[in-house]
Amino acid sequence: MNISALRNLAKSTNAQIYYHRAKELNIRLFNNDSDLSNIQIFYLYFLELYSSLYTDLHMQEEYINEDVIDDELRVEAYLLFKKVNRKQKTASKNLPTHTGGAGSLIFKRGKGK
Amino acid sequence: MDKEKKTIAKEALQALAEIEEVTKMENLVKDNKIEFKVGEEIYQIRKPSAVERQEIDTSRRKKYLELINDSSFYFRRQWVEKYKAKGIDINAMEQKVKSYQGDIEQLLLRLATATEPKDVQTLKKEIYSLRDEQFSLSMEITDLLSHSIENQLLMYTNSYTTYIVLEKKEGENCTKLFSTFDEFMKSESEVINQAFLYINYLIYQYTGEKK
Repeated sequence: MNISALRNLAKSTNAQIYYHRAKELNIRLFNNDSDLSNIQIFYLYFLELYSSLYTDLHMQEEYINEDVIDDELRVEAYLLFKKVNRKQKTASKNLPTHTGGAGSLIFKRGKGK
Repeated sequence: MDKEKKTIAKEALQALAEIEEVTKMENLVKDNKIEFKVGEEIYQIRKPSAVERQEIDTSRRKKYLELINDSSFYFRRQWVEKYKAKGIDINAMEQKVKSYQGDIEQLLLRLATATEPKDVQTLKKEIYSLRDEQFSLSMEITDLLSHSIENQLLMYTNSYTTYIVLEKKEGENCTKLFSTFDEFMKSESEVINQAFLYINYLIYQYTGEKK
């Protein structure tokens, strides 16, 4: 499967505009409504991927620019970086603190015999 | 100047080829059936219906029984043991593939934050080099295990599915190209080569192997 061509199609301005319109107005993207083919599933994945990359670009997120979006390997690197960062943030949020950690434990008095 | 013209012409040709590829991809994506032309004839492959999926599954089960009853066929796990006895450790090779992945991810994380063009190019080169080595090793494992029952069954199912969904298009009518699977298997035409290529665009091939 020519994944590069599929990615190029998904990141094109036309495809992105159509994808957003399709989501807003419930327009069909394909001739078939159900029973998607393998390539259609991949295509949807790339449409969403590039849509989120363009959103990050507009939000002026760190380490993303047009050069990164145009480079498959740098996109992969950026996504991995985001994933690792997200995991680290979640892990640090879940660490028990003096105020939050102990408060989550609820002690109940046992029933008397 | 001539050199410059040649470079521009080469870039223009490359851009045209990319546009052609994207247009081709657009046609492949728009529907869950794919039409292709060989000579003057138009052929089509599509996703199998529920009834056809049942037929494929029945045929797959029969083939599986045939394979496990044939003493010359071995499961993947048995091949791994046989290779180990001959000094080829497939498990170790798979571990190596995984460790390549770990190294690649470390480099990817560095690439994500690299801003200097020189650093970007160096890191990309290193990643592509590791990817090549990882790919070669993966291909070696695939080749070594190509005769396993799991792999044979996968190839059989792929062929049978292609036989079921390959049709010839005449106007709006589509008719199955081969009336029997034997006929399909004996035929060596460009149509079949094209159909095998496109079937992967339509159907996800689950290998059933633990990654």
